Amino acid sequence: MSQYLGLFLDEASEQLELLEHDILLLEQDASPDLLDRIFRAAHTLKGSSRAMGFTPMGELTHALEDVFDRLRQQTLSITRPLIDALFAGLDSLKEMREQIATSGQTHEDTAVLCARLRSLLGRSIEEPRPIEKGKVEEEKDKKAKTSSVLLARPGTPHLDSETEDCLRLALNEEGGTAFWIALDFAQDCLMKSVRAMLAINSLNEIGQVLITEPIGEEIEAEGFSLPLYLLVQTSHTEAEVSTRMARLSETVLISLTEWHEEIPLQQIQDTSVTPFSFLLSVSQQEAIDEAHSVGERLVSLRIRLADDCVMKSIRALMVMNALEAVGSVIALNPDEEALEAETFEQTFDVLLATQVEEALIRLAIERVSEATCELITDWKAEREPATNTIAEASLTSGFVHSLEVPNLAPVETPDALHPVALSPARPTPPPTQTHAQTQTVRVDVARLDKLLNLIGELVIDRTRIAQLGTLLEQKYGLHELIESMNETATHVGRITDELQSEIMKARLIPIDTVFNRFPRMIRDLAQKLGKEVEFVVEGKETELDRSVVEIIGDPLVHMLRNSVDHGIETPEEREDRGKSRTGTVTLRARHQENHIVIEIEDDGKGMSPAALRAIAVRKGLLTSEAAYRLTDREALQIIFAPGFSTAAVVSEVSGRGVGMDIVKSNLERLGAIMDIQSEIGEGSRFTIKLPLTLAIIRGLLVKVAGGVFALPLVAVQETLRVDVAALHRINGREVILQRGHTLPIIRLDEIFDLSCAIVPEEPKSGRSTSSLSGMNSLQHLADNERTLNSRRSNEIYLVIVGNGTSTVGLVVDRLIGEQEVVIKTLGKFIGQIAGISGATILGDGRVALIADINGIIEVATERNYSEVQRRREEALDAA
Amino acid sequence: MSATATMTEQREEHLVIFTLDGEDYGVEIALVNEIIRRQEITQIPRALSDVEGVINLRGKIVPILDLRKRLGLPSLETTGATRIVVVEIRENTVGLIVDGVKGVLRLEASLIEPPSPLVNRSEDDDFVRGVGKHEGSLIILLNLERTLRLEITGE
Repeated sequence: MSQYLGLFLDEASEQLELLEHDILLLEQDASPDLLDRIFRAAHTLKGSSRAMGFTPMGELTHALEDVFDRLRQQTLSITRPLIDALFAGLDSLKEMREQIATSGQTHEDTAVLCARLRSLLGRSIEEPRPIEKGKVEEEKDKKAKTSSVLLARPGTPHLDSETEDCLRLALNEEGGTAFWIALDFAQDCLMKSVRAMLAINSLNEIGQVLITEPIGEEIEAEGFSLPLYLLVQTSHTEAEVSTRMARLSETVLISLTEWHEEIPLQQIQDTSVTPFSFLLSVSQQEAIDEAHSVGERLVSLRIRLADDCVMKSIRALMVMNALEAVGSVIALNPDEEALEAETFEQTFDVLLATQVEEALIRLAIERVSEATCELITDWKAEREPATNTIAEASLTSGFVHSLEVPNLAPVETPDALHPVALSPARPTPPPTQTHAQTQTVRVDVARLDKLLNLIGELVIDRTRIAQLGTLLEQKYGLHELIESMNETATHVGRITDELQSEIMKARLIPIDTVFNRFPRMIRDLAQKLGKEVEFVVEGKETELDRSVVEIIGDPLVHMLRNSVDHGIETPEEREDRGKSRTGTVTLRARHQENHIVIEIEDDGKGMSPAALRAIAVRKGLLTSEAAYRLTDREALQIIFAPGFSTAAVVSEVSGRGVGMDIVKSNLERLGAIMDIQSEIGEGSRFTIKLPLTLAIIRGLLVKVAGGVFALPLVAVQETLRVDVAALHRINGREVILQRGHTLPIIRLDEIFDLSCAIVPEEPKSGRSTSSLSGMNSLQHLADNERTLNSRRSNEIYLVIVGNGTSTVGLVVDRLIGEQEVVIKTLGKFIGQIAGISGATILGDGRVALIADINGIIEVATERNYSEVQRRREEALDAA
Repeated sequence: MSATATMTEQREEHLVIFTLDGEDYGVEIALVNEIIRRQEITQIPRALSDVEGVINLRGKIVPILDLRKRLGLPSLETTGATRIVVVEIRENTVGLIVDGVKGVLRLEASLIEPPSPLVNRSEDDDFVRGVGKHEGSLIILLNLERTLRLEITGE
């Protein structure tokens, strides 16, 4: 089973996510569709966890499923306690899933939760409980009747097919026999429950009691009706069991019968030629009638799964999905439960209502790997009342397929050859366009990472080849061979580009995988804080790279918490301010050029730059002078300062030891740019601009002091060429005037202590000798070119970059161009360097450093600060 | 493989011998990935002063350590003999700039002595794990982990 564990865990998370999402919706709108979906998710989870042997998980899901079933039948109404209990159940399931993921087993005790859920059922039961624990029944009334009839036979309570399947499996795997035991206790017996427990314990010594009727809780509650039915699985004989029971005092053994599966009649028939037969319920009959009335045909299909097919249930499900795309599945044989439990041989039958040609149905089925359509025939039912007994049903609605087989081949062959030509008038959607047909493969992320790395190498080499071509051309002129090499290089380049973009796409996952845990969190949070919050999510289908998805979750959690906690006012406050009681928090994701933009917006109280300045000064984060100098926009960024919290009291919600400063630094590590907008009384908006992926970024390559740097394009606003005369000095800081604003200038060579080996007019000590000796001719060439280009005039190149807070101009020697660069780390040996986020390899094989704009601005600010400080001290000394 | 062969291996050290400031140094050959000529090195601003920069070694970014600076020896201009010894230890690949490489040598363990203050300048003791004697000359065996600051980073 262990090889399915990963699959099971993946599936379980999916179902749990789905459940959480849908239960949230349930609070607002309990549409039948939604309830069906929830029920199905719980059902699937129950089936898979049982199949994997995680009993507590199965039990709890079962209890949940019961609740959903009752909701579906509208015999239970949705209340706050109900939703809370459902969430509690869901949390426990998640916990168990985690336990299974880490230790391969689960040790949760689900009894309390199951009881809690069942108590919800108990409260609103108006009709008699069905004999078995709540089950999936299409026609509850009918089934309940059947059950009670069967129960009238002493000693054998009726089992639903699912329990039967489990039992059959258990017997197959573990051997032994199953006995139904009916017990009565003496009239004057005081403690029936104790007697019952003693009987169960005694049986458990020689086997295992699988089912009790009434159920355990009712036995414990004492007031249960007799006889007590026990289904025990044991390897002991009937006589031994009987003796054991006789030994119990005050206990009378009424009957002891061996359990036999209630085999439906159609399965007993000769297996060599198994006819199609479907047991049809009233609703299924109605569905058939409806199909006829809209001109659909009914087709019976026999589907065979490959003999070595693992996870038959999944294949079967895929076939179902495929068939739902070409028609509607009316009936199954064996039924869905059996398919899910995999208690069927390699074939199963489907009754399908469809308008589509047989060939297309066949095609749809065979698109599912390991599945083939063995038989396909028109289904002709003799209309009989739907209330057939089992025997009647199998006789009247079944038919022997051998009679129909000769017709098959001539009918299907032309269709298979010209499926469209034969049905030109019918607007049949071809199977390729049908939904739910995407075939997927789960791939280890590490493998995708490796692929991306390899493509990164390819990108580098591609650029290298192109450059070699140019060099060769310069040296030897336009030779035929060079030309053809260049052509090939261009082609390789195109393919590499395509390959890269495909792999990048393969790594993309919808941001929904992060977003879907937020509605629940916001709900809980708002409840805890006594606030009313409507949470709106937009653009959750936006896709971004896995690596980014993995990291943005936590920062977003904090920011959302912050919005609900500090942004949104209490309902009373809101009313006082003439707003609606319910606040709105909007989470938005969208693509913008090569980036992802995520916005968190609230319509709460907004932030006051003045108040933020005051708090910052009071907390000693800033001097009052520094605080005063901040623009309003910069003042908003104070909330990201370490040690800052606007709430008077650190609340349980936001104050978990992680401040917005951590949020900011985490996001910046991703290369994100953050911006805040806020209007007092109107609300705030946080904007995060992220690169699509962490492995490859678009960069602007610039040359500074002989070295090449890549500036992340996400931060670049524009490039300028300005006259040196336009530079001014304010307070020791170089600035230029741009559109009426002063723009601080940062000289990259100073920040990085780079000396320019070629241009001597900038006197800088350092390693000019070693860097000179290391340069190859190519670089000399380029450097000379640079000297000619930019130094001849009195102009400097400026790259205007921003990190959301500040905008600065970086002085560079030359702009080289825009290029995709593969980010490589500098490694542990070198460690973190302020202002440098990594390195990349250029087309000519040289290494370029990737600049970290945030780091550069920080370094420059520090430096400026210490500069000012130094001068102030000097002034003091002089005085 | 007989027991004696294993014993022999244990009693011998297989070393790469290089020179720095006129002295012979040795590192275990098992830790040496390759020896390359000095190539263009990209400086890393604001890095530690003995970190010369990084190079592109077939698509891999490899940091380069100026071993003279690291060991407190006077700097020397690059010559034709200058080599970069690329070592890999505990998943760290680092290139060491050395004056020249002499070759490989098998040294019997009995000829290796623990570092002695008599033959080493005291400030270098940390980097030396032993001194080997070979044909009348001394070979300083480098403690690479210490040299590459691996224990300081807390690995």
